Amino acid sequence: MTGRTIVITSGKGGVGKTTTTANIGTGLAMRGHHVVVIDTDIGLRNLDIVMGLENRIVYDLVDIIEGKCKMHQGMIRDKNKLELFLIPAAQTRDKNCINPEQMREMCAKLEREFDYVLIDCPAGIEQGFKNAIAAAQEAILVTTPEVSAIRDADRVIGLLESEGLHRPRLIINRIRPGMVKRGDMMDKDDITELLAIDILGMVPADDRLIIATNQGVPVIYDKRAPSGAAFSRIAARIDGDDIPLMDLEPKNGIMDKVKVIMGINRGAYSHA
Amino acid sequence: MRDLIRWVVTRKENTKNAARDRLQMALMRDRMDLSPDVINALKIDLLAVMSQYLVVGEEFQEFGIRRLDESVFLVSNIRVKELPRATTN
Repeated sequence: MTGRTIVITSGKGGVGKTTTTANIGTGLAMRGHHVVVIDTDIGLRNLDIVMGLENRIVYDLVDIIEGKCKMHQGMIRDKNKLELFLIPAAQTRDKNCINPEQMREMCAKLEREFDYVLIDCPAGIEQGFKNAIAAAQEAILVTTPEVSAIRDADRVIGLLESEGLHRPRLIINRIRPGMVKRGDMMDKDDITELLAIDILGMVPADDRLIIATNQGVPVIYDKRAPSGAAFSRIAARIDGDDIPLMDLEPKNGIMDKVKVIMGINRGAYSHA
Repeated sequence: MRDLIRWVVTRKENTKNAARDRLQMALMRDRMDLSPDVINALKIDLLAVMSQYLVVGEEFQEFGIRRLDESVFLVSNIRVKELPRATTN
């Protein structure tokens, strides 16, 4: 088998790369694929805690690369027994202790065993970024509808291009449909036009995602979470399904407002 | 309805347009910083094309991407050493 290696990147920190990686990885595994997710944020690891696997770490990415353990010893299986594995980042080392060539070698091996190799890229455009994108054949760019995140995304598109990663696909995270409707937040057309790239999906800002992450459970498992539904559709699109983009609509019927006031409707948005 | 009331009361312009316009300018500026490799390749290609029509100096006197208001220009100057005779009228 020859898997696809995909890097999830953004430039700016805090836009949701790690959450996106965890959910897309889970979504692809739920579709029956063999998936490995790799945290390349050496020194600042987080994919483990987002996936609820932080207590199971024995070995890490650097141990695998330095040959201190076998590849399989360094992979942690997902709690729900999906064919989903995590390679955590080392916490007490730094980004310079591995190099792009080592990443390419490791991913080439993983591609023989897995359908999807997803690489969670650190923020920034320095060594960690270079390591993370080295092995990828495809790139997914995560942004939020804010000027800072979009500007950094534009810079990253140029850097990906110069490394031969053409046509990255965009995920716009934390969209607030109410603000878009009022004209106080850029929408998908504004953003895709500015960046001149294709869109892969939109994820609404969602309280249920925070609640799920608190518990170390990818929100894609939450059937009532609009963000989870958005991630399911993104995973399906990556997998080749032709699913049209849905416009995000704020829920603003009277009953929804009552629910929000009563605290029942914590999600607050319907579609994603 | 609430939006309408707010609009009547404040008459505030939508802020997304400000975000989009500011970004557009910022991205233009950022992209103007072409890498030295690209600048060099462009210079070499331009010199080759110009040499088919004129005898020009070996170096550009001036070469750069400049912005004027909302447009971006490639500004370059090069000395023409020889002009060909007119072959048509």
